[in-house]
Amino acid sequence: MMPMHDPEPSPRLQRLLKASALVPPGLSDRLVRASLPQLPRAESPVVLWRFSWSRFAAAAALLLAAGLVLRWMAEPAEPEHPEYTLTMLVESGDESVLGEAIVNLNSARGTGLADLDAEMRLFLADTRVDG
Amino acid sequence: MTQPMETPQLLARAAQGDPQAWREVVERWGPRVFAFVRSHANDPELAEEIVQSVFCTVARKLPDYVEQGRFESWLFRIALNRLRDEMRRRKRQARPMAAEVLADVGPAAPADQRATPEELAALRESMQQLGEADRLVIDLRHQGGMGFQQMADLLNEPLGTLLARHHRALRKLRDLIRRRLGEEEP
Repeated sequence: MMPMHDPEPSPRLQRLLKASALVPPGLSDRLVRASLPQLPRAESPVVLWRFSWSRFAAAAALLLAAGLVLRWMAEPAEPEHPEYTLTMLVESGDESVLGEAIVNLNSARGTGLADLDAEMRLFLADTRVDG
Repeated sequence: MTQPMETPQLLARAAQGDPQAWREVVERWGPRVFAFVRSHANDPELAEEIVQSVFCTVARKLPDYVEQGRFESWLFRIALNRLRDEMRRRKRQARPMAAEVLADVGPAAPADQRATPEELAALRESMQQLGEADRLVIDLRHQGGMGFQQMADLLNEPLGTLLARHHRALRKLRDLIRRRLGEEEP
């Protein structure tokens, strides 16, 4: 049976192996000179980050999201339900805004503007309370 | 005197391009990698060329390397792969190094480690007679200074198998050296 708990060589063999492990003078200097240019450059405080694809993807996603938000903000709001708006406006008694609401209502319904307009104005005239 | 930096901290600083940290990496591991490669290739010039290439590779890959306590295994794996590639490419058989070349290399060993030229020649020739696997474990352990667990990781072998292989290789080497020096078995 092979003994397994004798991992080190005899002192003499150890001495021989150590004596044979010689390193030429100046080895480390030559290794540093050869390999240092391969090392990434230390980051300068001016250049805060290096290019990487993950950073590029994150920046692109951020720009896209910002673009979508701006576009959503620039779009005109969908007109609210015409009947509801009209009812509310009639109750408020503001004629100038009402005219615009009637146009919206008309385009939404595709009905004739004139009848509806006249009807609303009559209604307003009846309900207006002049100061 | 400043304390030497812990390995993860040292590697992290080197990976950020700190030249002083990189120098320390090279000074800490360069001689061990060189000793391993030189012993295995048995050619100091080829060994230095290979070790330069190893450290260039490490410098390039270090920013992506995640230290989990296996840096030495990683480093020696690069060295071993590079060594095998080079030996294959050059189809160079390991040649016994001339005694005068060996004598010129490096500072003299301390007195208690000195060996006669005959002893060193016997060691070199005996190493050449060992099989590749036996030579590898002896070189990694005694020239590269690796621990057995690191060697087991590097060679992807169970620790017990590696210990047994190392023991057998040492016994073979000792017997070969004795025979070369004309010594009797004890």
